[in-house]
Amino acid sequence: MTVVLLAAGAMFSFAVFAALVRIVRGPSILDRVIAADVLTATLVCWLGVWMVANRDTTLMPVLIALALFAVVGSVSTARFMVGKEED
Amino acid sequence: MLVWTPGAHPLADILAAVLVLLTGVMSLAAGVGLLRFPDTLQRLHAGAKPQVLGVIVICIAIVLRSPSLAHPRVGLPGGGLPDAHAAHRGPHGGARRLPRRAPGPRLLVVDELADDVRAADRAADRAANRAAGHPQGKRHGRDQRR
Repeated sequence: MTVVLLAAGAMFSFAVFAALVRIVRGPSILDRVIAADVLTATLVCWLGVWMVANRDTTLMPVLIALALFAVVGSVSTARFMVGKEED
Repeated sequence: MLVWTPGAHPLADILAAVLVLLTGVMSLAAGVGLLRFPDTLQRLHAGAKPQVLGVIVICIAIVLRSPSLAHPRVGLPGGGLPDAHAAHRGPHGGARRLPRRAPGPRLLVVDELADDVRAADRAADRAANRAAGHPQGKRHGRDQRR
């Protein structure tokens, strides 16, 4: 089972790395918003894997709060983006 | 993180391990899509869909491995549904604000909003002409400003 956790950790690490690269390079604000969203979702999955491995649901409020931050952040950024990048 | 606490049933452990691997593959797909796809819209799809599925899958795994299976409602409705909603709501809000005239490759197969965008442009032109006191048919407003 340690192999499973190692493999999941490696894949999550690559997803976080890819999201960070897209945040740095992304040509538009929307790309960065999407990448930040993927970053947060990966962290949510990471906390979930921790809970699965340890049989401990202590982190469930943390997971929900993180998901709420993700949605509020990306939606508010998308709203305030109106008109900035048109034309 | 590398300690896998043995569960009550070995079958649940194996199933949870498979779900954990599936979540990892979903995150990997999202990362590869973010890096490799050339268009903002494609990157948005690549980021949103695997992540929603990954979050749902990991919540099912949490329910499978929770110490007391008598409380799956803590795991699935409490965690999975708001998380899945949050994970798809953000890209949805972003897609609605996607600039229609942004430069870049046009890789859409079908642009379902093209007619509505043209109609909105024509309506804006007519409104600008009316505000400027010009008769209909003469092009003032948006096109002249460009």
